[in-house]
Amino acid sequence: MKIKYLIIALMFLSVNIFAQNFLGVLSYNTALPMGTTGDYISDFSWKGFSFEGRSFTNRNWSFGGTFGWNIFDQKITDLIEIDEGDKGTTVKGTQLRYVNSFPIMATGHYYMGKRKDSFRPFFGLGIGTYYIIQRFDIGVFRREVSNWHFGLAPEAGILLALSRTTSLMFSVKYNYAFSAGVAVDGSTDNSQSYLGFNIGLAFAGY
Amino acid sequence: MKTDFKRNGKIWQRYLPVLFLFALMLSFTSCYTDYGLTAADYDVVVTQYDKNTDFGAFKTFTMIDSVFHITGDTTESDSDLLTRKYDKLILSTIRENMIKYGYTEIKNPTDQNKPDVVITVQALGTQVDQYYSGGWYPWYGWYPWWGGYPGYYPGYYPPYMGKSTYYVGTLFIDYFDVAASLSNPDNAYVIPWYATINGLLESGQSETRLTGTIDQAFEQSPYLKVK
Repeated sequence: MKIKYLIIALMFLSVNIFAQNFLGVLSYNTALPMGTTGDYISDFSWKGFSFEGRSFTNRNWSFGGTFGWNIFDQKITDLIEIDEGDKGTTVKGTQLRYVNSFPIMATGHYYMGKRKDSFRPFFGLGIGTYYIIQRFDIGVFRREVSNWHFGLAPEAGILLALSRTTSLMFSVKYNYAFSAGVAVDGSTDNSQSYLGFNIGLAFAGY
Repeated sequence: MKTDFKRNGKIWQRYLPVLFLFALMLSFTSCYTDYGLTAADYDVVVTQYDKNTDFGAFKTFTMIDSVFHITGDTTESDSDLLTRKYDKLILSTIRENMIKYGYTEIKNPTDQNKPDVVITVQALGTQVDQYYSGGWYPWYGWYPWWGGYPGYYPGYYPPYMGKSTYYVGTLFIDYFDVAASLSNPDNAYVIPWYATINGLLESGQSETRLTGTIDQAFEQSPYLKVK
């Protein structure tokens, strides 16, 4: 029975692909760290990419999935001051801070205008998970934590047609990963967020 | 695919995605940027003080004029991993910093001429063995440990296991409050300030790294100054 459903599902998927109802998007992602992520690493991230598949249900709506990778890092030499009751602690050392975020999400998008328009604004929402690895290096010491976070990613963007099958995509996506586990600094608020600025190529499938 | 090609017309569009993908891959050789750290970047200075202590009231100090090696064996006074070469430099740098902060040294303390503060210095050497499980490719970061020749087809080799050993030295500077220690009903020493300096051993620039980190310990503890 399961195989039967799988074949039916695959048939639908193939139909979608060959009916030019499918859009594959490959993007280069930059990101501005925000919230607790921004407190940990303030540097803008120039390293990130994502793959996305969007299947159109009609002229204005698509549903699909995305996988991405964003890398944040920073070298900091500032003093760390820790206040614990009667004790005052100061730490000096070269700190290397890293956050690797891997969003894996189901997405839905709404497109304005018609399919053949050369300029199509769209709005979308991603729901799924972020696998986030935080690393803190100081001297010969290392602390690393990794957690699966539930997350949401609202997005707004435009598609600019280059040809019948290829479009340029620009989008801004707010990535919010809800708190999960403990942050690398021991804090129980381990929500992570960043504003992604993405440029990509979208290929319509035949 | 032929129809596609005709429709698209321009050849560059066919290669654009490939170039794009290639550019992406080039920019992500590693998820952890190697900042090209030097041995000095691995030095860490930690200082801690008791906020209830009035450091301004201390004016004189005495230094125990040798560095204790922590050996884990009471019959051994010298650690195998540490050298005595820098003992004098360590002690003189600490002394200079104390004098710079306004303290007066009492070289030969007596019951009648007690110092306010006693400074002791201890050192610990640690060997750290780190094991790498290499990938199938002689990636940029793995290359120095990879056993094969670069000319060989890399995927042919099984994953490589490597070991690297490094030595870490830790210096403990303790600042004893003499009056408080002598009057302490618990018979325990009172240490209102200490510094812990940690770094790689035998990695070059030992003298400047030692003096630099000791200076840093005092610099980040301005409350130690004599008023």
